[in-house]
Amino acid sequence: MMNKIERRLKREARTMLPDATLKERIRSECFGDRVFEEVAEPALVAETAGTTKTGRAPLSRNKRFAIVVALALIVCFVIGMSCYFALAKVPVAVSDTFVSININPSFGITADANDRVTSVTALNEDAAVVLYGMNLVGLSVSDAADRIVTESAELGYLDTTSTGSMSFLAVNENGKKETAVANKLNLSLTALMAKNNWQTTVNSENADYANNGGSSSSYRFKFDFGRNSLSVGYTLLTQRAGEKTGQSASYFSRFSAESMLKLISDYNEESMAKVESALEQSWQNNSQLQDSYDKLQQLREEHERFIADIEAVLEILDDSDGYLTEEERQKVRDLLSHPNLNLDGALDKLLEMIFSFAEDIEDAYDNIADLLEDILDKIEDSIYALGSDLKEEIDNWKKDFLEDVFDD
Amino acid sequence: MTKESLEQAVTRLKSGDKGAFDYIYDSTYKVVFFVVHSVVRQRETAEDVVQDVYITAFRNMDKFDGGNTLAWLTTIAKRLALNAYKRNKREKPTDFQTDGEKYGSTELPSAESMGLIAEAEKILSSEDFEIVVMCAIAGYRRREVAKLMDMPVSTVTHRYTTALKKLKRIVDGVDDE
Repeated sequence: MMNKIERRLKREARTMLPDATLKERIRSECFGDRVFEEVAEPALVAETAGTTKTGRAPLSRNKRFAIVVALALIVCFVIGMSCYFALAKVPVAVSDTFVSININPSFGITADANDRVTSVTALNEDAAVVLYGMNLVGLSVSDAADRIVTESAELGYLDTTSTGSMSFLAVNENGKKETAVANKLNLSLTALMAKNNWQTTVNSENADYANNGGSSSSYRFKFDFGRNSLSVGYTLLTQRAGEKTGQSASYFSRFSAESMLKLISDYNEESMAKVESALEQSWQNNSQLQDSYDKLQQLREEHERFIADIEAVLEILDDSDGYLTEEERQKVRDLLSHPNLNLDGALDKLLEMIFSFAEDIEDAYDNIADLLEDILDKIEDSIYALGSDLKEEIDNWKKDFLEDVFDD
Repeated sequence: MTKESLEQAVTRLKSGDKGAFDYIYDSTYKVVFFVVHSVVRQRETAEDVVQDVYITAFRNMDKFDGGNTLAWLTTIAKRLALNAYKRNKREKPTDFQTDGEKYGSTELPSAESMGLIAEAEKILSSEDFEIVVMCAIAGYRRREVAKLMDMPVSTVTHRYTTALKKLKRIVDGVDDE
């Protein structure tokens, strides 16, 4: 019957609602006669057509010559401008940014044009231990850097006294983008130090280089006529790679930032693979850690399932027209029968109210919403507590691993 | 048809994208029209007022702080509709009882002769009427209506079903006669 009422309202509305001319009137009032401007006056169209077809006089030889010269000049101008723009200093497209963080351990973060992390590389064995079990892909560069620095501090790598220091370098072909990332990172890492009351000095190599009078170099492109230049980040990397290998800095101008940094950091793929394999082995042998991890995963899944159930029931109630099918009723029943709700005797009465769309259902809905929120809070608290415990256990395991492996 | 996408369209229009006009108008004109109609109770006057609503809104777009677009439009609509109603009353004094069809009437005929929408305008509160228009006529989902009207979904559902029940009673009454 409700559908019948809705259909009747819709049918009536169709006969009453204004037609498209009102919309066009408003458009015309607000934005001018845009919709009509392409329609030319028929008489004018005919007149113009007649002129072009029949009114053209034959061109004289001089006129033809003048036109040819003019065309030739235009062609020369276009070619000249094309060459100029091809070789001149044109804005470099924003590409991936590479950020190296050096605490010793050393890390390399690659981020896309939106500053979202796409990969993180451990540049030495210590970094591999720090990064083990961390999933930083998809985070912002600042968040990822914060987590890396925090984890390094917790494992004792970061000297948090006033004598301690760490540095980072942002590298992007686009100098403006590079500076923006470096500034943002500098702010977020400085804030992280302040928040944790750490005295460590944060050095932005980009800012240091610029402050010390350094400027970008100009040997990235073979035929750049001295106009296109390297960003500060690339300049620093090519210089360091040159110093490390004895090659000229320009030799590295076509190298990727990551490959130069690996070269500078003495990155050894074989020894990195060994450490990662040892970490994996040690993790596999630690059943207590694995149990805790599985428990946390289960709790997370339960949380997600519960949220999905709530959304499904909300959807059902939202779309219902005062009537629910047996299947929909069962979904509502299942959600409200959740053991954490403890509705017991009140459950049947509540379900009856919902299924009959009782007049005083509003209060009941509010109470259910409160109860569901309480349950979600409880699950989230459990996840947080379990996650914190697990984090502590993993940090202790990593410390033990470092002692066992590196002391050997 | 959500509050967020309407706001995005307003932002686009503000930045000069005139193409956003279609989206804003198509998403809102049904609600605006019936809000106006519920006050002026006459189709031609309602159309004129709707035109004024959008012209006023678009010309003052810069002053709009980017909040709830539909609420902003319906606020303008109510104000202009009330002005139009008062103006009509002042300019064309008439006996509503005998000439209600032409100038709008405070005493409405039955659902059978005037239609269910007119009955809804008469018996429902303005908020409930807006909910009915948004859900049943403009095709908004109840969750969207809840967002647009800043009220819980359960409240919208309750008020909507209650309003439909009231209309059903009227239809049943007419059918019984």
